[in-house]
Amino acid sequence: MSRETQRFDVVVIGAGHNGLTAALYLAHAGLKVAVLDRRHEFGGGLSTEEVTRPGFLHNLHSNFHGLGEWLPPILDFDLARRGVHYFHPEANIGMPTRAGRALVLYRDELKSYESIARFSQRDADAYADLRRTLAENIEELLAGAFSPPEPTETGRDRLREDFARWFGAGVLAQSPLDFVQGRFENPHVQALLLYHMAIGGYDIRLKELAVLGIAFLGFITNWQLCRGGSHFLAHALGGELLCRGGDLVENAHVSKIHLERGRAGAVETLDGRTFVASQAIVSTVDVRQTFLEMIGRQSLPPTLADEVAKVVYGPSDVLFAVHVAMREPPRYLAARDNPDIDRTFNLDIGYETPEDLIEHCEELEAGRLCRVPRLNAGVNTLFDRTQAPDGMHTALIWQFAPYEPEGRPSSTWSSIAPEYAERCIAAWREYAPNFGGSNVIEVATYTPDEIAQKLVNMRRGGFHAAAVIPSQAAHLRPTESLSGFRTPVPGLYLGGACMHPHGGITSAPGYNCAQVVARDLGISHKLPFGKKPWDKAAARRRSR
Amino acid sequence: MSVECDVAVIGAGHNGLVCATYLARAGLDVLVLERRLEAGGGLSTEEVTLPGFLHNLHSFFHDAVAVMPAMKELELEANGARYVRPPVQVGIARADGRALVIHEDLEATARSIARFSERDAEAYRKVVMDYRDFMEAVVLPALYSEPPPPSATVAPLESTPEGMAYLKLGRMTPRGASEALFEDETLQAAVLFQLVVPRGILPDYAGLGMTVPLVVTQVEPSHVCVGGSHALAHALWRALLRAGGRVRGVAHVEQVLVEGGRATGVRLSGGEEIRARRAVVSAVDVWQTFDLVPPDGVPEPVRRAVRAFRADEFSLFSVHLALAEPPRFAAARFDPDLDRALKVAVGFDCPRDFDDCFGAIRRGEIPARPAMYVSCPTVHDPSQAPPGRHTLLAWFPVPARPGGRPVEAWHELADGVMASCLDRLREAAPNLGGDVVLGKRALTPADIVGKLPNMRDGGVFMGRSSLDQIEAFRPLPGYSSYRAPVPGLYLAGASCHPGGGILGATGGIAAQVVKEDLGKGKPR
Repeated sequence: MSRETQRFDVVVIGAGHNGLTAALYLAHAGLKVAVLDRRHEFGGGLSTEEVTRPGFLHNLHSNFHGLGEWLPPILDFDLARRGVHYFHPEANIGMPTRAGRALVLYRDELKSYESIARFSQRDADAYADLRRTLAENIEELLAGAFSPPEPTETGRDRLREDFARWFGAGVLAQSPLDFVQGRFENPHVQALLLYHMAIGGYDIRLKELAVLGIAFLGFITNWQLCRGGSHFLAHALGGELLCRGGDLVENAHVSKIHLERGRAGAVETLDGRTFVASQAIVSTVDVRQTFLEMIGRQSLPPTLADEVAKVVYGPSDVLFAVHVAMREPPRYLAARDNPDIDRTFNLDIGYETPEDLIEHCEELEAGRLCRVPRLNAGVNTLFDRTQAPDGMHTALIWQFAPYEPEGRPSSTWSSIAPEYAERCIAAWREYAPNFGGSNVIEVATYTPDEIAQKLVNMRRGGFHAAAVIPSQAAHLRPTESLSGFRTPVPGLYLGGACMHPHGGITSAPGYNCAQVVARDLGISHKLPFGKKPWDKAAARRRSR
Repeated sequence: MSVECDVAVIGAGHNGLVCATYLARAGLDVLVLERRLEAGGGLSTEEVTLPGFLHNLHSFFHDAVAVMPAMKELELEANGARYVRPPVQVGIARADGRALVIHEDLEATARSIARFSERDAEAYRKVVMDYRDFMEAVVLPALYSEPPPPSATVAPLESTPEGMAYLKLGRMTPRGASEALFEDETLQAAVLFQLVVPRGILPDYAGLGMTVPLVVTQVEPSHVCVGGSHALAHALWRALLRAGGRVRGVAHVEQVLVEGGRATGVRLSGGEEIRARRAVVSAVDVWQTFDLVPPDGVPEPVRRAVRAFRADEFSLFSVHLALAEPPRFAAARFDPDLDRALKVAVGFDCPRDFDDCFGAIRRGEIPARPAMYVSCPTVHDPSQAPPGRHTLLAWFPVPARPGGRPVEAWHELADGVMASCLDRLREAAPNLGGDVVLGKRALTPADIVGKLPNMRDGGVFMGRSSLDQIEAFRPLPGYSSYRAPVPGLYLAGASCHPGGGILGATGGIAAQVVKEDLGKGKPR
């Protein structure tokens, strides 16, 4: 096929939201940037498709956006102009129980306090305390996520230092489970907090992971929904990039990164096109693809190749999904206890106690399917009427699942998915009896195997593109020598979900990468800093 | 809250995008509003079987690539639209094991025809020689300009014998014309096959015989859009944004605002109003367009005429397959080039097969034996599937309302009809069994209507292409100038001349009309 060559200052590999974010900032700084994606559609995990019936929009990857409208590219480039709008449901996260009770956490802290107090007065106070501490320091938390981690040689980890100060030095060694069980008494309250950390892709049992988990609790009622489907945000990011002179090339499957005298200078696509990058190449895909497939072991320092080969994937961020087109939204038995559960956004269905979550973690670790499916669920159409035809609804079920079920190859998923989906729906029906029968119009499944094939970046189906474990967090993410967003290959940078802080729609890895590239090219002053809510905190941090 | 623009365009199908881009390039502030999340309308490519397998849900080949002015003028190639032009265009895979193959190369085609009829091989050459220049000089440009009055197309022809011969063909049905020109039924079928899709012209449409030389001269060879048809939508999107235009998805226009007898903007569902200072352009079908205008905005006789504008006679049932290898047709033993043909007819061996298929459809029945357009685009563009893998599309013309039932009834019928399509496919290409089929998905007329309400009754041409509904009669006599009866409101959808298909024509002509009215320059 074509042998054409195109020239740019910066070539970004991968048009997921991190790739688009990095490209957008660098284009704003005046560089000629192209973003290449192997798929026919850009956006990566910002993907919305009508997989059940026409007119029913289903978010195949990211659905609950934990930062929502706080995303720096939304603020810095005023993407509201491009129609980006987030719904921020008041009843934000919640759990119905088998016994017919409902625990709901709200945007309004007082309402959350009252809701928890119905389960435990002590826990309501503890929650208020925790949230106060986190709210007071939310700027620090964000600034930490939106800057490259402190390099190892400083020997500092500011997030951990802050946490030791706020919660006592003991917190550093704790698991999320230790922390929650140490501060809260009611099993339902414990389970809901832990559920929130678990859907962040954290194994709640892991020692030394409490800090990340607690930081995540700073955003427990910040779950937001992108109007029109998550892919809408991809359109806005891509559109803004084009209007700033950037280029966006789909169907461009990068097969090689060319090194010239050791420096990354161009990429080549599977169909033979060459894209020259005179200033930098930014890879936002996972490190195995970047180093072992696109560059190749023989061209790398042996220690780097070994380091990359050791990166761990899953199992705590691997999901099986069921998408449902339905006539009416689920109505919970627990609505008698708290009617707001019928309009709660991010739902924990079935993880009622920490033991439920622990059992689940153990099953995942062993590669087993869950004996009892427990769900991370939501009904977007309660908040966004554009996501289904008039009066109809969609439902999303996420279920943590092994990539290789019961030790069999991942392709096994295609044969077990329909039956497993039925079990998931049945699990929801226990809490909401109208979830089934003629109310369900159509069901579509999306398995870990399909995830890994569609977005190869999500190696072994994991949405963090490298497990979030203490040995792959902060200055160790994804490996010690790569955590600074620069790589030992001159001219090559990393900016995807495998980088600090991790996956999810935060845009932070792409944002951090753009900062580092801009610094190296001496154009930091051209980045549009100054509009973010945590800017003050960043300034304070710099002056320390 | 109120958003403002110079021109609001309703619908981000390819015509809406083409129109908007021309207007944006003329310096107007253009906002395209699309009810779906994704722009492109019929330029839609989705992984409906398995990840990495791209399936074109509507248009899967594009005929006008080489002739469409927008391609050059809007720099669509530089904006990312890449095409391949398959050297083998059409194949008729007959049930008796023989195959007729139409190549880009006339001599190769003639050799294939000669195996059926020596006389037709010569006749085919003669049609190409007689008509190619005329098609290129007269007929194609007419697709990209406002339709002239009926007499103006006839008058220049009546003074020469060649012109009279052409007018005579024009008085026939396509079937009549193909029978008048050729003796062999397979060749006749090959011609009629290319008229049904992408032109929406059935063999018995009166007065459309002149479309036969259009097909035979192959002045618009079919192209495959690299990476799937949706790549053209992305290219148009890029061209529009780079020209300063805007697109908003999930913006469902509920009403065209009319003030003081003039279209002044639109209202979206949810109540938001968009003010259009200069014009409102509707690139959706004519029925929806007039439903959007308040009742007192359009005279009743016009409304009646719009209601009488007839939808397409047939819809399409699609089967999408993910394959481990491309189809190998049994009839390829007769002519190996069949396996390289972009469009293969299975079940359309002779004109009578069209009668059976469309006769059943007119009775509201699903044809008893599927007759299909079959294509394996990955033979031409490997990027539409993972390395070494393939996709297949089979289009089976069907009635939108099976047995008179509502279109939704298709959801229940889908599996059964897909099974009979697969049986028929395996008869034609026996390798499509067992482990070769990795994934399959049926899309029915209910899916077409549900996704693109513009395609009324599942018809993909936005209005029947019968003699009474084309050229100066499309969509309505007296309103073929792309101006709606409401001042400030323009029509740019496929319900206007020259109709459906990815031609980039209607949107382009409408843009010229709008520019002219706004004093932004004369047409090309």
